[in-house]
Amino acid sequence: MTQKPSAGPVAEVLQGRSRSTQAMFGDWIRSRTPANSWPVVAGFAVFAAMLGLQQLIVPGTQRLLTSVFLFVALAQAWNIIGGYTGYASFGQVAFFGLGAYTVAVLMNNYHVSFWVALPVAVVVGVLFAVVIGVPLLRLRGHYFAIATLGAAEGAREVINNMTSVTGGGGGITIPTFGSEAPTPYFGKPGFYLAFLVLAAVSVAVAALIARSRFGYAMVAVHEDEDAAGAVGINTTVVKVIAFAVSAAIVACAGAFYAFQQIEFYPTDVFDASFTVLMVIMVVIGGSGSVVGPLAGAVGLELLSQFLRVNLGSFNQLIFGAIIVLVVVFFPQGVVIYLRDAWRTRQFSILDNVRRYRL
Amino acid sequence: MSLLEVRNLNAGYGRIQVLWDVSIDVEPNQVVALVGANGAGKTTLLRALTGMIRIRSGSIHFQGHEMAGSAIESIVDLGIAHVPEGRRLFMGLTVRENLLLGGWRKNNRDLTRVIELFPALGERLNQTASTMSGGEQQMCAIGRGLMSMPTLLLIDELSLGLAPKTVDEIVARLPQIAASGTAVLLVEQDIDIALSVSERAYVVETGRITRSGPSRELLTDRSIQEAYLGLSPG
Repeated sequence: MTQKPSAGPVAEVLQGRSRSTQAMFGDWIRSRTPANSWPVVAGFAVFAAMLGLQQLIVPGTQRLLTSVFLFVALAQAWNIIGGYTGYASFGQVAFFGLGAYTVAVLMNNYHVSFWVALPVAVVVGVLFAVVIGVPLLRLRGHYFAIATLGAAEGAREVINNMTSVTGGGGGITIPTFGSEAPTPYFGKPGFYLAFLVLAAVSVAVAALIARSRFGYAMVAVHEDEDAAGAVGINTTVVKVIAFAVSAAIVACAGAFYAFQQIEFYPTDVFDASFTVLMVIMVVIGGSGSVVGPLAGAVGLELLSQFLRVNLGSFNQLIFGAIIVLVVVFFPQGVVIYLRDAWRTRQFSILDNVRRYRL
Repeated sequence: MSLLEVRNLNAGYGRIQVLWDVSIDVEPNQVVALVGANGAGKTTLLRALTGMIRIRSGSIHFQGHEMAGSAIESIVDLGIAHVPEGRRLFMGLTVRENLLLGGWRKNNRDLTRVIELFPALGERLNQTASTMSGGEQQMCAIGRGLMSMPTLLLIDELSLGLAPKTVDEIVARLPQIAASGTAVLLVEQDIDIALSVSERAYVVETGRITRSGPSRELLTDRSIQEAYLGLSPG
């Protein structure tokens, strides 16, 4: 149904725009105008700058930025199910591992091109998400978190024990040189590009979903699932789709990661610390927004690498302490804090802590 | 033909039967009240109507279609909106977002009707639902229900937790809603209010309809006055 032209005070009220509405659901409410498309412009500008930057930086920095891009994609993916939809999955690494192993098995055992294996990996991730999502997404809160954690551990054990196909605990190697290689290795510049595109696509997907009618439904499920059902939203379908979209991005990331690593073990690509980092990056940046996970992933990955280089053996301790402090002072996420503070002109951090204690 | 026609409905939870042979009718463009004390089975009846609990026997016809066993989403498609007890707004979202979610299923983004009905909401479109007063929240919940362009609006315990003056203000809008094409089935503990605003009413006691008729007659009925309105016999 289209917006009817209306006159008088009602029309004025309807034209008054809410910033939070714009940020969250823009496109379902209003059409895109030059004045409100600056985030898109900014996004393209950053993407172009990152492309240009590649020519100027040393290989070490290139490698660092590549891992930043990886975590941007993972954080955006987690945000779709954990942030917008409100289902905190602690098993997203399962899709990462499945994506990685799909690519490795296809390339190593069947000499399939990476570009064929990649979409297969995404399909495997989505299928697994639907299969475990339909039963698990009936659980709420802690129960869902625990169940997804278990599903990821289970997936790792299955891969670990399918020795004849996956190599089991002995790991798997993707042939990358000579006539053995189904697809030539990308090298550092190639993977920089691949992960940059992956990150950009993830941000774009998250932004489009968040502003769509479907994004509305995800937020409604987050806010009050029963009320969402009462207004006619099929909550099961919304949850499973959100979970599957998240899984698709994570599996895609896992596929690129596998090719980049060449050789890896189940414990590498099913490492629960991937999931934990996704959660921390989203929560610290600000969940339920597009910029939050982006800022969280960039900030935390750069910080963690900086500490590793400069602090030696204490780096993990300091990294953990910083995470604790940020969560204590900015429980809603740094980006959300800055946005609200800017809007209300109240920058007091103490007030912020008090507000979210209640 | 009635808009809503419930015949000999039996329903309950598990082994416990709550509703016994309930029959009610709602005509188009009418405000009908369903009144009764706490635990009489009013909310259970609404749950049965909206497909939230399964019915054991009997029939529910809406515009001539058999509704028993329909999924909750399809009930919205048929033209029934439910304003749940306790309002159940999306508390972290703005009024506008709440209303738009009401129109989600029908892809209706036209807030005009709701704002004309409750101008107070128009002034608060960008306010977060949790920061509004109870009365404004109830207006928002009713507005959210209307956004799905229903022909029947079910309102559960409109007066719950609201100041009498606020209740009067909101209740005064119900005849207007009905006249504009959305019949209202008002489920209420506050019998005085429910009977004053409605055209017809049903009295529920321990899961059975014990009285029904034009509200004006019930309001002056001596036994109802004694049982529910605290007027002493004599």
